Amino acid sequence: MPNSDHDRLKFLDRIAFAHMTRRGLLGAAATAATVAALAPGLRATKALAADDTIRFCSWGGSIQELQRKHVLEPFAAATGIKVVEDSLPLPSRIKAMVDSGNLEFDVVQTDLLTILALEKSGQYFEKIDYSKLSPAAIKGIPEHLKLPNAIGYLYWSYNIGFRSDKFPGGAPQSWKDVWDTKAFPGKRTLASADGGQYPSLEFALLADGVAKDKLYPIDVDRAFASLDRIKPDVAKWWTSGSEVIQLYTSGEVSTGSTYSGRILTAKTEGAPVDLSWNEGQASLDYLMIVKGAPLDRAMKLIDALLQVEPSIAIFNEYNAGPANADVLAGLKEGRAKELPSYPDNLARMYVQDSQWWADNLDAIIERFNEWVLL
Amino acid sequence: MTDVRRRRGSLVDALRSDERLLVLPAALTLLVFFVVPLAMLVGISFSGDTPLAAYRKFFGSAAAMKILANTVTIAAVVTLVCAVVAVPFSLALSRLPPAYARLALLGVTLPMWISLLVRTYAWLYVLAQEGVTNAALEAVGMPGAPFPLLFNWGSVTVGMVHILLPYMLLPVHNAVTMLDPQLMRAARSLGAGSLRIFATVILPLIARGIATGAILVFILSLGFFVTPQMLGGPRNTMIATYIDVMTNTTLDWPRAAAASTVLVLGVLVCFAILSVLSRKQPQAAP
Repeated sequence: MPNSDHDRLKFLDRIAFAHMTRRGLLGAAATAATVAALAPGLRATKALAADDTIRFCSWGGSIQELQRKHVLEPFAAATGIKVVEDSLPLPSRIKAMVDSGNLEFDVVQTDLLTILALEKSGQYFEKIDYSKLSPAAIKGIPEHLKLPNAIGYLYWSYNIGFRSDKFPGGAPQSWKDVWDTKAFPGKRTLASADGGQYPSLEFALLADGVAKDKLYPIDVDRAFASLDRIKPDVAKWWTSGSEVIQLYTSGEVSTGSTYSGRILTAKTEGAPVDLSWNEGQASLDYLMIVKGAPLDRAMKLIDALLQVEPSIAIFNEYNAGPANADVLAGLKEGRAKELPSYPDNLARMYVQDSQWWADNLDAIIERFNEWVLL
Repeated sequence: MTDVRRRRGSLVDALRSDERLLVLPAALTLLVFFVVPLAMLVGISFSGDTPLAAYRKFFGSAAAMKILANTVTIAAVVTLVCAVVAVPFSLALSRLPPAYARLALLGVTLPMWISLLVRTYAWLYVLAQEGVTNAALEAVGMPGAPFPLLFNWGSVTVGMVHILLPYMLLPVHNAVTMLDPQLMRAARSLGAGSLRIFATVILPLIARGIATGAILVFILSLGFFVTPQMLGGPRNTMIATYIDVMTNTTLDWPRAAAASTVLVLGVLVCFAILSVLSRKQPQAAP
């Protein structure tokens, strides 16, 4: 997710530290699985949300600070409902919570692939009751983003990133350019298959000349053949937003892929980096209700999160694109065109086919690992 | 007679059972928070389509086997490097006045107070193309600089040794402080050179300390996650990363649990070796 990596890394550090103190008996992730497995045994301590409480899980960092300031605190003050916050709604956490009947949060912000991957093995989310949402708050959200159990909230994206000081004759503007190491010298970085990332098969196809409306279903063999050509020039397959920005700012790579939010933040802070919106991949974060959560309060919180005015305040500062056209239109002068959901930017990108990825994820990750390692 | 003994021993027995009770909180905590979850983890590993499906998938994956081999190899290399650094360092420490020795030890253990993540990040900036090391090499006109120092086994080893060195150093230091200086003097007076003294007197006496440190470092290395992921390149994947992907990305928990169980078994074997070693090795001469 866009700017969550600080917290993601804090989380990794926490589990890494926890497993160090266990003298390495458990892999970091196994610790998570263990906690999940332990949960059914501790049902006696089942922590149901108290009657006056709703629990919200976002991605930490600046997005959650802004949500707290503009939505959660005013919501708690106005309704008397206490909001308990959590961060990092990894699919594994949602699976563990729902499987054990021991919820840690009720309302969650995450992407479609999380929903689809989870729902391959059961029901993990409640239906959204659209009659409980204020019409003014959702009229700017396109109909195709109003799913039965999720409502579109913000766009984030993967784009072509580059060092603005390394290409005096013009920076890469397409994946073909990124693949062309003669015209655009320097090492590359693309997403790995670790840390919640997925291999950039679509970018590989675009570099090979596939049109962006013909990407799905992905021709996997062709994509890997294209990746073969760039592999010797990839210095590092990145796993997190903080890492990819470090790769650009420390000079390890000159171009490759990146999160748009991360690189825009680095650019604002004065780093010699920039992005191209061309042939980027837009992904959406939705708002969802975890199975078994208190519906009434959950719907109230979602309604508060979707309100136009507080959302404008959030997206004036946070580098992701509001899914709501009314929010986009209300942003301060010149702001909207810096964001992935600005129509002109969105038109240059494609939207990830999350269903294809949910269906093929395991096989692709296995193949990518073999391709990289062997 | 047995009656008398029993009566006389009753107080001692009562005390003993009280002592046993004192173990209870620790034992219960371990049981609830460690043994039971571990058993559940093993249970999950058998919960695939068939009981052994997860293990079959794990051992049948060429990538997983390569990652397992990577993990064992890097753990062995890190252990070796730690030992090679720790032994001379401990011997040097033993020559220092106690106040300086304590200061030097503090210097080595203090970094343990800094987050593993911060230390790993620091290495990124030390070894980067436009980082401190390459800038220094370029400043002195080193031909070929900047060098690609990151994202290879070298950078992973440096990062892991930096973090794990204290686990080797402390047991080795402990063994070195127990060395009797008279033995070295005696060896020298009998005509042994420094190298011979080291090989035939010092090394056998501190071998147990090295073995303890080696097992600790090796076991900790097996589970390393953040450091190889951040400092390593595409070919430097270790098993913790693999388990993370199975747990968090593909949600294939049986396979994640199977890989974890294999890791746990590997660690248990190491512990078994350690306990055999510690029984066989003679104590340092009093």
